[in-house]
Amino acid sequence: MKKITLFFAFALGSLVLSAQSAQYTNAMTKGLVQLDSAKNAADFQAVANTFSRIAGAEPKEWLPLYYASFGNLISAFILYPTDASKAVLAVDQAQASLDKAKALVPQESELAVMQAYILIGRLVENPMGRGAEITPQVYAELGKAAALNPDNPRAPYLQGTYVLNMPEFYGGGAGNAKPHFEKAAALFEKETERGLLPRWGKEENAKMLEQVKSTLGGK
Amino acid sequence: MRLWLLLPAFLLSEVSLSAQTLLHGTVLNTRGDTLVGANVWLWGTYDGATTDPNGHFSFESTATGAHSLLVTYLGCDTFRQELDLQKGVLQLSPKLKENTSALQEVVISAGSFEAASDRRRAVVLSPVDIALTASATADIAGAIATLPGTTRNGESGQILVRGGAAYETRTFIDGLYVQNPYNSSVPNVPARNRFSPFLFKGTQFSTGGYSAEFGQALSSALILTTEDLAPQSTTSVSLMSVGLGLAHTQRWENRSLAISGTYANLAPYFALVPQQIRWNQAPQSGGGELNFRQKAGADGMFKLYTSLNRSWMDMQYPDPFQPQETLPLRLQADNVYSNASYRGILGDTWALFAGGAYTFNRDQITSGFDHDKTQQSGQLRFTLARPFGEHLKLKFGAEYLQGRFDEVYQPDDSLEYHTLRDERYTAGFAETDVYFSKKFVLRAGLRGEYSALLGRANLAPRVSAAYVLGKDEQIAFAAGQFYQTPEYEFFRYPATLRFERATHYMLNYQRIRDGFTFRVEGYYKTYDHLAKTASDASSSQSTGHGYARGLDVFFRDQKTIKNGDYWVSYSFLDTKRDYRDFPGLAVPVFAAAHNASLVYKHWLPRFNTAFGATYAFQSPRPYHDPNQPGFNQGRTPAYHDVSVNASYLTNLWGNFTILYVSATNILGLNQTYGYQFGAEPDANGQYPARAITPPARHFLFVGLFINFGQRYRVQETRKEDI
Repeated sequence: MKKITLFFAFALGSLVLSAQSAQYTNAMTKGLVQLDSAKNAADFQAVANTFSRIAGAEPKEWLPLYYASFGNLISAFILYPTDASKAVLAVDQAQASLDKAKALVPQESELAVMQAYILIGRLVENPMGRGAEITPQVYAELGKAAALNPDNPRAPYLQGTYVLNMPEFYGGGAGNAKPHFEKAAALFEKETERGLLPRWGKEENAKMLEQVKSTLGGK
Repeated sequence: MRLWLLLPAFLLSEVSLSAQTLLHGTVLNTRGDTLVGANVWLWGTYDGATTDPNGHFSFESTATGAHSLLVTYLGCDTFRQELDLQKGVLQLSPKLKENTSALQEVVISAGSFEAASDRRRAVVLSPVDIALTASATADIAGAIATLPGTTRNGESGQILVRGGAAYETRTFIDGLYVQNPYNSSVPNVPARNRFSPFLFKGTQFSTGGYSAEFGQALSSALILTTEDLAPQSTTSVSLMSVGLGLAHTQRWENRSLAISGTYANLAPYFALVPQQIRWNQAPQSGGGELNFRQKAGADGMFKLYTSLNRSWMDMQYPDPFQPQETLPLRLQADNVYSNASYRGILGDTWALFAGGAYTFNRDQITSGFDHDKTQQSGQLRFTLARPFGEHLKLKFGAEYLQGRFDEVYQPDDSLEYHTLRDERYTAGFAETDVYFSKKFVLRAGLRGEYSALLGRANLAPRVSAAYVLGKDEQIAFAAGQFYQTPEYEFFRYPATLRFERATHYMLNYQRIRDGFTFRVEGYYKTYDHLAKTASDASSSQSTGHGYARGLDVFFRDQKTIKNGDYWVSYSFLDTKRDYRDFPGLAVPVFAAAHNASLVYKHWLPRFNTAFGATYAFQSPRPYHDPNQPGFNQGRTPAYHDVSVNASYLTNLWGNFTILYVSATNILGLNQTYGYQFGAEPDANGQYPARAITPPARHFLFVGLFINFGQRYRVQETRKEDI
C-alpha cells in the first residue's frame, strides 16, 4: 500500500511538473510566434515584455531571458536613427537580461553570441569613437561562442556581418566576410529541430551570402 | 487512501481557476505622459500585457488572492502595487517615476567642458577630435585653444584662460598634479603638451568655478583621465617628417602593458622648409614611455604611467640688448614623470582613489650666461566618495606635495646666484552634491591648504548649481575662491608673499540635443595678492590685483552635414591686471579682446579619408613699446590662421595604417605675436625692435602610422580557457 501511495505521489508530482512545463512551453511557443511576426520597434519591445514576464515566473530558465534580451536589442537597432537615447536604454535593458541569463548558464554558446550582438549595439551609438575599443571584445565573444559550440551557426553569421561592415583597411569587406557566411550556411544546414532554442539567422545569412557573392562578382 | 481525497480537491481548484480577473488601465509617468510599450504583469505569473499606443493595457488572469502588479518601462523605476485579486474587473492607473540614472538628469555645467567617453555626459571633445583638429597638429593644448574661454598664444603654445597667465592653468592626470605639462622650450619658441591625446579617455577642461577637489590653479584646470586596459595587443611604427617611434602593447585578460620609444630630429625638416630662426643644431629629443594596467577584482584598477625624455637644441637667439643681433643659445632638458594610482570600491559603498606622482625636470641653458634649473615634486593623494540615497553625494580627500626648486644662474664666470627653495604643501577638501529634485542640483565644497614655503594657510569655499529649464536645456551658476602659490621665480629675492587669489562668478546656459550643442557663459573674476616685483627687481610682494570679465559662446553641430562636424567658438575678454613688473593696472600682453575659431571636419567614406580645416581669429594684442609714452600701449595686427589636415586610412601589407598630413597657415599670412625691444636705446635714442613671429611661416607635418596586428581576427579560443 505504501508503495502504491508513493507511486501515485510520484505520478501526481510529475503530472504537476509536466503541467507546469506545458504551461511554460505553451507560453514560450506563443512568444516565439510573436517574435516571428514582429516588424517594428514596438513589436520587438512587446516581445521583450512577454519574455520578461515568463522569465519572472520561471527564474531557473535562461531562454526567456535570452529572448527578452534579443527583443530589446532588435528594438534598439530599429530605434537608433530616430530616438538614439531610447535605443541606448533598450541596449542597457538587453544587457541586464543577458547578465541574468549568464548567471544561470555561464557556458552557453548562444549567450556569448548575444553578448557580441549587444556589443555591436553599443557600437552603433558611436562607431568612430568606440570601434577600436569594442571590436576586439566582439571578436573575443564570438571566439568564445565558437569554442563552446563549434556547430553554432550564429557565431560565424554575426562574424560575417561584422566583417562586411568593417572598412577594408581594418581587414573588413565582402572578400573577408564571405568565408564566414559560407561556414554559417553549412552549419545552418546541419541545424535541425530546435524546439525553443534560438534558431534565428538562417534566411538572413543566405541573403548576406548572396549579396557578398554579387559584390565580388566572378571572384 | 488519503490520495483519493486529494484528487477531488485538485480538480476543484482547476475549476475555480477558470474564473478570471480582468485588469485594465493606463500607464503614465509622474509628469502625466502616457507610456507606450510598458510591461504590465502579475509577478510570478505569465499574465500581463504591453501598453498600446495610447498607454492602455488590458489582460485577464486566473490568479487569485494577494499578488504584486509590476510595471516596467525603459528609463523608469519599476512600479509595484500589491493587489488582492477577486473575480471581476480591476481598473488600475500606475504612475512611473523616471529613473534618476536615466538621461536628462541635471549636471554641474558652469565653467566645464567635458569630453568623457561616459555617454551620459555631453561629449565636447574626444581624442579623435583632438587628432583631427587641423590647427592642433595632434597637440592637446592646440585643440583646447579652439574652445571658448581660451586666448591663443602662438609664441608659447600654452593654454591661457579668461585673462589668466599660462601658469594659472594647471594640468591633472588621474587627479594628480602635473608639474611640467609642456616640453621645455625657450621664450617665443612654442612648446607642445608632453602627452599624447590617445593616452586619455576623458578630457575635462574647466574654465573656472571648478570643484574643491582641485587647487593651486587660479584660472583653469585641465583634468585628464587615462584609458583603462589597452583593448588588444598590437605593435606600431610611426614614421614622421620630424622623427620616428616604435610601440608595443601586450594585452592579457586582466592586465595590459605598453612600452614605446620615440626619437625626433627636426634637422631634415628644417633643411626642406625655410625657418625664421637660425639653428646651430635643430631640436632633437629621445624618450620612452611605459603604461601598465592591472584589474584588481570586479571594480578595482591599478594604473602606472612613466615617461623619460631628453631634448636638446642650439639656436641663434635674439640678443636682449640688440634684438636684431643674435647670440648662440643651447637648451638641454631632462624630464621624468611617473604617476601611479588605484581606484576601487571600499566596502560596497565608498569609491576610493589613492595615488602618487613624481616629476623631475632639469633645464640647462648655455648662452652668454649659464642657467641651470631643476624642479622636482612628489605628490600623494586620496579621495573617498559615496552616495547617500538618491539625493546626496559626499566626497572628501587630502593631498600632500613636496617640491624643490634648485637654480644656479651664472651671468659670467665670476658671478653665481644660487636659489634653493623647498615647498611642503598640504591640502584637504570636502564636497557635497545635493539633488533637490531631478531638475535642481547644488554642489558646495570647501578646500583648505597650507604652504610651508609661504608659512600660510587658506580656506577656499566653492559653490555651483544647475537647474533644468526644459528638455535638453539648463542654466548653471558657479562661484568660488581659488588660491595659488606664486611661482618659484619670485622667491629668488627677499620676499614677503602670500597665496595669490582669484574669485570667480559665472552664469551659464546650455542646450544639448541630438548632435547639437549650444552654450553661452558670462563670467566675472577678480584677482588679489598677485605677486609683484619691486621696480629694481630686488624684492617681491603680494600687492598685485586685477580683474577679468567676458562672454564665451560655443556651438557645435554634428548632424546637419552628413559625415561633417563643425564647431564655432567665440570669446570676449576684458581684463586688466597689476602684477609682476607692471607700473599699474594694464592689459597684459597675452590678452586679446576677441578670440574666435571655426573647426570643420569631414569624413569621406569612399576615399577612407578624414579632412579637417580650422580658421582662427584673434583681435590685436598689446605689447609694450618703450619708444612711446605709457605701458603696454602698442597693439599688434590682428591674427588670422587657416590650417588644414587630412588622414588617409589604408592597409599596408595587411596592417592598418594611417597617413596623416597637416599644414598650418596655408594662406601664408603674416602672423605677429608681439614685439621685442632692446634693453637700451640706440644712437638715435630709439629702442630697436624685432617682431615676434612663428618660427616658420608654415608648419608642415607628414606621418605614417602602421599598426601591426591591428587587423582583427578571431583569436583561437580554447574551451578550457573560458
